[in-house]
Amino acid sequence: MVIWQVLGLGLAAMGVYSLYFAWQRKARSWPLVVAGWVLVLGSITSWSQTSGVDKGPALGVVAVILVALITIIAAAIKAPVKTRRTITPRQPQQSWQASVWHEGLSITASILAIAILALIAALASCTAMFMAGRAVGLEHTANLTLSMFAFPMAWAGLATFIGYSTSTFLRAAVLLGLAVVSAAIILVTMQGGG
Amino acid sequence: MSASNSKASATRVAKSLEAHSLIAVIFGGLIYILAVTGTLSVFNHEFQRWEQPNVPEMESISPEAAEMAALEVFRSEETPTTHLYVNFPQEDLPRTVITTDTQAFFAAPDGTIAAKEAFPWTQFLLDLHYYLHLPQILGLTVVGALGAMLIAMSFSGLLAHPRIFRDAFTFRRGAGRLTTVDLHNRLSVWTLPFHLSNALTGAILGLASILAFAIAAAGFNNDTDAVFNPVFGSEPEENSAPAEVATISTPLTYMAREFPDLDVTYFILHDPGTAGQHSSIIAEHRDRLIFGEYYNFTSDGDYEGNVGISDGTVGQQITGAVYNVHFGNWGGLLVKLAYLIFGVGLCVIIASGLSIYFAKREANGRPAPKLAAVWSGLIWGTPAMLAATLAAALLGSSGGGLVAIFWIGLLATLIIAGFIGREKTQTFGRTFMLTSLVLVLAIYTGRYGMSAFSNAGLSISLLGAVLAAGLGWWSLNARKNRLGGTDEAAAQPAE
Repeated sequence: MVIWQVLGLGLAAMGVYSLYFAWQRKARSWPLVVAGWVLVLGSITSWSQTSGVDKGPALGVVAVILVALITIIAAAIKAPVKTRRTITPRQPQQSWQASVWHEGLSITASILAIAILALIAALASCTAMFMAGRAVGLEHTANLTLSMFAFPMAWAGLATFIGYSTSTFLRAAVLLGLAVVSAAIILVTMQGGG
Repeated sequence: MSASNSKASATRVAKSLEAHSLIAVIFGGLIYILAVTGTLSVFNHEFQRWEQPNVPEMESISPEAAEMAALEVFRSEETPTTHLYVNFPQEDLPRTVITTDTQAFFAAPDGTIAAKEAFPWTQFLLDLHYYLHLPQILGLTVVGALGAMLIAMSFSGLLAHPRIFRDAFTFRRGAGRLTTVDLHNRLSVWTLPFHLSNALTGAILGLASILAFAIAAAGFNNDTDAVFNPVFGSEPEENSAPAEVATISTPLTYMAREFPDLDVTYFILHDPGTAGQHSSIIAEHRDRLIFGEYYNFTSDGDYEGNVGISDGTVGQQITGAVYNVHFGNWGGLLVKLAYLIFGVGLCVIIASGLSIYFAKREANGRPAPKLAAVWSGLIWGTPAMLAATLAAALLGSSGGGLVAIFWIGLLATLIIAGFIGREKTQTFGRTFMLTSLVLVLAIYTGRYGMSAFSNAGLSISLLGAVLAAGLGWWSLNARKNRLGGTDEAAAQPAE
């Protein structure tokens, strides 16, 4: 087991260093990048031999992150301190304080959209996903696990979309559309008896 | 790249950054509190030991002694408990604890009762991380929602970072805001597997109840048990007719004989002293991520089978791993230390993120000095108030008292920060935290004497002393720089 651990650490170090070496070059070197990722993958595979089917690769991921952090720290220490021009902040705009109210209202609207509308849409879509999976005979625990993982991801995706989109109409259309389609799927699958 | 492509990419980055900032401004403060408390919660077993360093510790306890202790506690209960638990010694918590619905006691290796269990600060910390001190289901849901928002910040951060690989190792040292930006981006990208999996598992744990309510309403006649029972197993029919208390030692002996490679962590007796009583044993599988497997027994100690967390459906096995992946208690001390590093990294990512936001606002002529100072107050006030509550707990405060000290103290810190400004808040926060830590160490040593230097007391005390020394060095350095006229802000990349 120790051999696999040492090999895993070595491969992680070589993999991250290979990526670092590729990054240092002016022109992109695909062989080095590919070699780096293959070595990182090799490290995780090696760690997977040290424990069970889930714990082994997890240990590998932890080891790779630690090696990467050490590399970042080393790169940071090595980086020269350059003299840089001082950035002078712009003079405060005369009117910016007037926009504070507008900003406050916009944030309040975003809070409501993310915390209520996006929640309802994500909850409805994941419930619909579960019900659809159940209707087609997906095994219960797999179906439930998929829905449990999908729910926060869907909510996060919708929250990102709300912050990203500048069109109120598009935001409303996506959220309402998702909720309505999900409700329809839930109703159909409920009547089908599942 | 054509000009139109370049413009489209710039627009995408700007809009993604806007989404990133929006979510951070709204939810960043609470997510930061969860990140700090989550990082500390990884060591909740060590904190429990530290809070009571002078109780019996052991590597194992015999089934007969465990039964004797459990029965003594059960018989002392005025109102019969619905569940009787025995927590067995583990590597990071080598103690035997008998727990009922209302109280918990330590057992000595010979099965006698040694002392009442009390770890008010650890409980306060866990309640803060699990529920933000709100009522349980509401708190759990709010915390789960904040997990989802942390995922959203990862999504928008990735979208806003088109040069993710080209900048993989870029770090501009001593460059003020650019250094903070590099620190934020490099930590975010390289620790992504940790903070994404942690946010996802936290969100799943927190949001599972409301999803279960929705699924139960849609497909199971509002029966949430029907949703979860196929994963975690169901309880047999209740029968409250009185009966002799079920055997405890027989199932434990069975486990030691039939499953010698497993670590028994909990024994649970459901409905003890009734005709419907039955027991479960939770045993850890050392080579797995799952929290453990349930092994069920009748009241006579006959083995009925396992639930399937370790060898059942893929869904059961994945769900069984969610808790351990979140709390980092699946690989011993080394994995816990790795989680400590990643957790501190996450705190730095969040703290630096909003500092960059306020610096950008200032550079763009839209400064928000009061808000920036309040943010600084939260960054320093959270750990400082946690240290202050620890001192209060050692002086006898518990439960609601600690909750009040933390939230009122944090609120006061934020108000003061708004008045005194960002620079002074940093100095004040550091000094407050340092003073609280020194107080904690002094009170602890005074209260427990030589026990403070036992295995149970030493590790956390040493960690506290190292942290205090680090803070002291930082404060002295900052003071020296200030007197020497060096820009202190440039020397503080994280905040």
